Amino acid sequence: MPQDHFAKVLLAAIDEGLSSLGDSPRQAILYHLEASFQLKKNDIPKNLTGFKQALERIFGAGAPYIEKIIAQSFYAKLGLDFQEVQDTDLVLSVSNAKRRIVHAGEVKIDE
Amino acid sequence: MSRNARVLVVDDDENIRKVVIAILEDEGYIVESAATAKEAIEKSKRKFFNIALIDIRLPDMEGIELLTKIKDTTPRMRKIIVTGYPTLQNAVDAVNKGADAYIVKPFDVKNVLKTIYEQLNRQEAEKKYSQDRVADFIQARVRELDIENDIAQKGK
Repeated sequence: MPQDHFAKVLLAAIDEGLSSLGDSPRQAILYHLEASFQLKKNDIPKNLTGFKQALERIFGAGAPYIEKIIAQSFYAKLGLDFQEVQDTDLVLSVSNAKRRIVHAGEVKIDE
Repeated sequence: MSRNARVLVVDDDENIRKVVIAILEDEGYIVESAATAKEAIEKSKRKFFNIALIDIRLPDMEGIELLTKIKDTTPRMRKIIVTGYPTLQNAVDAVNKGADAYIVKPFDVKNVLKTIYEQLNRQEAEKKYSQDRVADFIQARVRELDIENDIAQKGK
């Protein structure tokens, strides 16, 4: 799976995850990510840690819930089973998904 | 949105449950049912329902009492009391305990569907209001963070 396709799937999952808050909140988050955190939407897959930190700064204790929704959507789009854990870390979840896809030997992700 | 709405029908009369489920599913709603208050409370804890149609007389609890026991959600579940014994006191009690509407048996199907539709529209409006408040919160929070950053920068 080419890296850009992986990133596209992740962006779609992020869109879906943020949309769970509603369209106005989703737009507000993306706007402020760029304006205040200097993180453009298309750059999120390259800086997932920055995205996660921004969510934590904005939502505090609520951030893990949003991360979990995004992770669930991401896994669903990849056809993977999402294994629910107490504290879903988005960065770790994405990394695990990548590893599982490569390990399954179905596709090769070009770095 | 309305046509994907989830409805919980709470009535101990199996025939009534079947009829109401058939009517609502025909309209495209996703319907589940409960024969007792306890079952309704359990289901509301496990799944989200947009609307609950609650019979005023249940074997284990008065329907009006159930209004206060059923799990609150966001957006708030709309609760409609259904009764074959309409009295002014019942209506007042129902409203005071949190009912959003009141339907009288025997059912007028058009009225039932209209009531459900109206309640879903109100719920949608509430949801939009909540989302706007979340957007406002995000804006306020980011402004707060910008101020914190400015202060931290000046302190260096």
